[in-house]
Amino acid sequence: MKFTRHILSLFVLLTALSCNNVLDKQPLDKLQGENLFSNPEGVKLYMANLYYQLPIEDFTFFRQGFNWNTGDPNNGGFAPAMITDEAVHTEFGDFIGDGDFQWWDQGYKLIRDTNILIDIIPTLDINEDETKALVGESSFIRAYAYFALVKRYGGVPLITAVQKYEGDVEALKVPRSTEKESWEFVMKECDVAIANLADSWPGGERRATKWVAYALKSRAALHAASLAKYGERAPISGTAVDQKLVGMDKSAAAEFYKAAIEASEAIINSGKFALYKPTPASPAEAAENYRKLFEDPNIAPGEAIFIKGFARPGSGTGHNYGIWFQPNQTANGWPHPGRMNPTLDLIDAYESYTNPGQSAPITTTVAGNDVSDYNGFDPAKNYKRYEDPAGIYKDKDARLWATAILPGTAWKGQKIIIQAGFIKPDGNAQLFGGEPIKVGSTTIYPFGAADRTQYSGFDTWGGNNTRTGVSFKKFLNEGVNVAPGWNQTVSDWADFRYAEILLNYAEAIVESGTGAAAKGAQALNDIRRRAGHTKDIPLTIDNVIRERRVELAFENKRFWDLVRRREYHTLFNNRVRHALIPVLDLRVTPAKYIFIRENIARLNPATFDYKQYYRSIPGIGANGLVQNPQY
Amino acid sequence: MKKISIYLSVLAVMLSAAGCKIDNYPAPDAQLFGTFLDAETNEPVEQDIIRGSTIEFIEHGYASQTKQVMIVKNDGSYRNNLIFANKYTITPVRGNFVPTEPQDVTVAGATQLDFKVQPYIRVKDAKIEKVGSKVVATFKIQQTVINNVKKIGLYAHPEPSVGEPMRTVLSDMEINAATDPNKVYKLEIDIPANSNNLKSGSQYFFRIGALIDAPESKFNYAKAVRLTL
Amino acid sequence: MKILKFLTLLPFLSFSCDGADESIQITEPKPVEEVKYDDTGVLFKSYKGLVMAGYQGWFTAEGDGAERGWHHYQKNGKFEPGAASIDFWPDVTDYPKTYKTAFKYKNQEAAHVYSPYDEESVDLHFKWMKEHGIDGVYMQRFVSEVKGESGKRHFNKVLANALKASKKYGRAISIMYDLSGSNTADMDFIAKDWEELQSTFKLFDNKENPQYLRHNGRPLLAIWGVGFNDGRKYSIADIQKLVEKVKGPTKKASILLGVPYYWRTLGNDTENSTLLHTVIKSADVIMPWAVGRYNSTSYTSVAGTHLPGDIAWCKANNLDYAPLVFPGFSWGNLKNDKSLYNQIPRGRGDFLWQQIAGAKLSGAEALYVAMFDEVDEGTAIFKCKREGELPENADGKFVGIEGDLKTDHYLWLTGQGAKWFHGESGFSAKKPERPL
Repeated sequence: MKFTRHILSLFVLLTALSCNNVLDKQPLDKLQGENLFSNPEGVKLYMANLYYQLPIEDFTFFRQGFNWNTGDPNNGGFAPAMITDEAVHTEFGDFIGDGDFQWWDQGYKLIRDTNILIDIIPTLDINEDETKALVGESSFIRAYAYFALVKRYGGVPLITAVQKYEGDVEALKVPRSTEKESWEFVMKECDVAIANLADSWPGGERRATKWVAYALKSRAALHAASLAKYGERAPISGTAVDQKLVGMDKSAAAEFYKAAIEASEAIINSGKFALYKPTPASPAEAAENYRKLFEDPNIAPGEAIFIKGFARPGSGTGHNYGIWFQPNQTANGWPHPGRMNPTLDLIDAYESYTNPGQSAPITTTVAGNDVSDYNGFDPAKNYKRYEDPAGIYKDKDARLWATAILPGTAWKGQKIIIQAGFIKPDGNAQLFGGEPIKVGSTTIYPFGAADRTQYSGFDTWGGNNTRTGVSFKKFLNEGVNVAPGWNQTVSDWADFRYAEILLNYAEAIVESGTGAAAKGAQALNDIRRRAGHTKDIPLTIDNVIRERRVELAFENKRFWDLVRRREYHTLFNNRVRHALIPVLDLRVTPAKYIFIRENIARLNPATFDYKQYYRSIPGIGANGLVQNPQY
Repeated sequence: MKKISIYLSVLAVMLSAAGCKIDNYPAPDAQLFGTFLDAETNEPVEQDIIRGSTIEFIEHGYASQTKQVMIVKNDGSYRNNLIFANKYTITPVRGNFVPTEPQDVTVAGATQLDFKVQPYIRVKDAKIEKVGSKVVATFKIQQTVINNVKKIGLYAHPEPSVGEPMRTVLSDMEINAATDPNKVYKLEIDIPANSNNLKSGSQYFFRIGALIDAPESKFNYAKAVRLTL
Repeated sequence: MKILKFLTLLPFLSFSCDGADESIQITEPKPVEEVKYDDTGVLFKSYKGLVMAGYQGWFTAEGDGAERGWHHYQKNGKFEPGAASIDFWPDVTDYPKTYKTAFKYKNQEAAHVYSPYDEESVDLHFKWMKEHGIDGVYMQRFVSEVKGESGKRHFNKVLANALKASKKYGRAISIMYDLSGSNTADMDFIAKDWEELQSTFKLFDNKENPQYLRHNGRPLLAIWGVGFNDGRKYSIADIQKLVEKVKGPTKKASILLGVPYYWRTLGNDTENSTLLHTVIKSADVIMPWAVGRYNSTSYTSVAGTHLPGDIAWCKANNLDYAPLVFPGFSWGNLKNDKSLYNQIPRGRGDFLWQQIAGAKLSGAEALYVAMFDEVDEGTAIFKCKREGELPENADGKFVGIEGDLKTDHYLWLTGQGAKWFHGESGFSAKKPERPL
């Protein structure tokens, strides 16, 4: 009896709770909605929430999801770049897992929230311009959301109006559309947004404009086109393939490349956008310009087409790049800095000013014929010796200097020391630790300094020191000492940059063999000119892809580039990523630095399975959808 | 403190009691095993233990039709000692052989199910030996389908389950053409050039593989060879 | 209580036993003897080793006596510039009897076509087959056409022409029912029509028709169109009954079934029903429809594993297998869509040879060539006009054989394939070059 009573009271409690929830949701109800939307502030409020939910791959985007800056944001600082050839983590050896990069429930929540708005627009008592703006913005948001879904899952259920539950769950189940239909839907939504959005917002608000919608279309169309063109590089089978829920026919590529060219051209021809400081006088100036562009994209309104702001330190409004990725020496009290380690694989890709149009792998020996030798120190080799440990990077593209902190260069007023060990005067190498030695009266420390706060490389302690030989710089604010706590960084994220649009344009032209090739080449070379290059190179797909890798490095593009071009499984087949380790050579006096190309220590080879080109769809048992292959 | 531990142990007893109840389901009581055999030569078809041919099986009697998978050992054999006696639909998929059809099989006790398949490629007259400071492989390629041979390779690893997915050193060659069954191919691995993976005096396994250009195909192999360098 | 229940059950048990016994008694004493055919003098005892084409024979010309107008040449009742169903134009230089059309060549000369209603024309076709070593043809019998009086008259006349010519030139011949457009009720009609054909033409008579194709010791009948998932008005079960009926208890005929390309995996173009496999197993040969399933670029990746997979399945089920090859595909005029001219290009025979070699190297033992005379969809191998020598067609056009080839090039190339399938040496994946 007593028991029953308890249960009853529990029941009452639960009911009360659920009532509360229902009350919370009242604004979504039609009547309430009218109230909300009749008030311009209400619309703003609702819209702000939709924008907040946009799947923008910014500083808070990780394999766990978006907006990873609330609750407990501790994910060890494992960034999406570390699943590519751009970087590795200081200690995690993870590669892509089946549960990574999911965005299903959240995606359909945003779509539902947007559909609520779309359904209600015709009933609102607002003028024509306001209606157009709402139609445009809501289509933009829906396009953005479906793009994020389709690039993950292939064809998805296209839900274009709010679904109402009327006692029959089955009636709510919408089957997946084909992948091609889904991409076409994204294109169509972009077009509605483009047709309805204005050039700008009166107060310069960071909201979607016609140009942002064009930029989205440029990116999404290029993605779809590449999938159609290169899908056959990674054939998969299964029900989802048979029903064309994943995969597209090669012939679909043409229409999407055309869309990418046209959307990019609209932005280019608008005359409203330009590269930030397009003609620097020297590579050093180019490096500084490029660094500043990411420190604060607001200084470049002509280049930053769409910015997501991180307004104030705190949960949901700040991010964690400033703590995770500082070099160890400038940790400012944060216990686990230094976690983004750019790879030698990326460094090699940057051009040298002395040999434009080519990747310039770092040569460490006088012979220079051994860039694929990763067998470690070889006393028989004649290594190039440098007094300045950054000397080996001389003539490398300015953007490398602005993207990575190179050994021996200054950051926040300190010389950043990255040293993997030394070659003893007797010719034996002592690498990655051990005791200091005395040479004459000088004590030589394996990691370049006595105290572990005084260096930034190779010591495994805390997982705080780079294991690739360089530390990370892009996006970090040199002038700000970030407080050692969660969500304290407030630099803004440029979601769409003019440079990306130029690269989308160049790629679509060269890949489709259509459009104005001369203008495509110019787009490519304008970006290079901004990086201090003075000699133009031809428009080839290799040149475009290399340029994308270096210009857009760490902007969370590389992962999707490898996916959409179906290059992941080829580049990540037992992939070993590499380091360039600076070693003090004590065989000469004064001691100088030599460099060794090495396999990154303690890192397993990584392999990308075909099935990872599509994410698994959650909740198949309940939603009745056809699962993606091999899940 | 004492009180807490008592409570804890009571809790533990309760939990384990509950656990017993849940675990009263019968354990998997059957075994399924067999080998991939070349339908023409009746020889086992060499496989990869990781990212190799896969056997999908669906247990009958459940609406969900959940696909379970088994992997195959390098020698072409497979074994599942934890399977419930029941009817299954079993399909070898994404393999190094011409795709085969699902078959319905009753598994009870120790059940043997061999798969007679047509391997895409037979690696013939394979020879791997150490010559000076090199490991040299010579072999012929017999393809059984009209597709191109995509690539051939010589793979090395300290473990006997060496293959393309599991190797520390490789020497491979893109072919992308139909092959002449009489042509002798030669692949070499230079030992000093791979000194961080191939230490002199140690034992390693070497295996010749070839990949056909067909959707989702896997490598075909000759048997692995053990060499002391 | 328990006993009682048991007892009440007993009568039923014994009853059902009796029933079973009875039924066995009916069938067992006289097992039906399978029919045995005299194969003395029979020219083709098996499809194995043969290369045979499909023969549409559905064209007619105004004035040929068939009284069917410009059947299958015309479109919307007209056969004149701007209105035609054909993409390729038959080269009628060698035909004794031709018909003037409203089409004109650039030099204003009228363009002519032929009619298979004429004995002379069909005779010429079989003469070509003999000349190039093509083994014979499957005479298409369109159920939707022969149900009508004029259609039946036409196709019976074409068949009579073909039987005569095939006998004369020693070419294999067999009947193929094309079920497109049929419904369940038509199955009885087919069975009846088939019976009628046998008696009218003495198809099974080894003296009258020694050239009629036999397989597994019986005359072969082909039934095309089982298992396609394109919304047909008959079911796989209907075909199952039809096959049973055609074979009869005495197993009167062997059966070739025309099935969709993905018959084995029951996907894509194929109805997802395992009954299809049951029906296929009751047949003797299958021929999957490959037209439009690949082109020269995708052929190897599609057919490379598909063919050996099919062949292995058939071998395991004691079935023979005849892959289909076709020279190319073009149906711009039929579909009123200029982008469909040369939809699957012929590539001077590269595409056809790619398939012949692909089939042979994958282990196929017989070939079905689609088709001998199909100009609506541009798969014909017989003599057609070349590029640059075609009649004009208002703002549309006709598609020709590549200008530097002889008009009988595809007959010749098919004949080379036949030699290879007959076991002659010297053939490989490399397309044979025709001596000048």
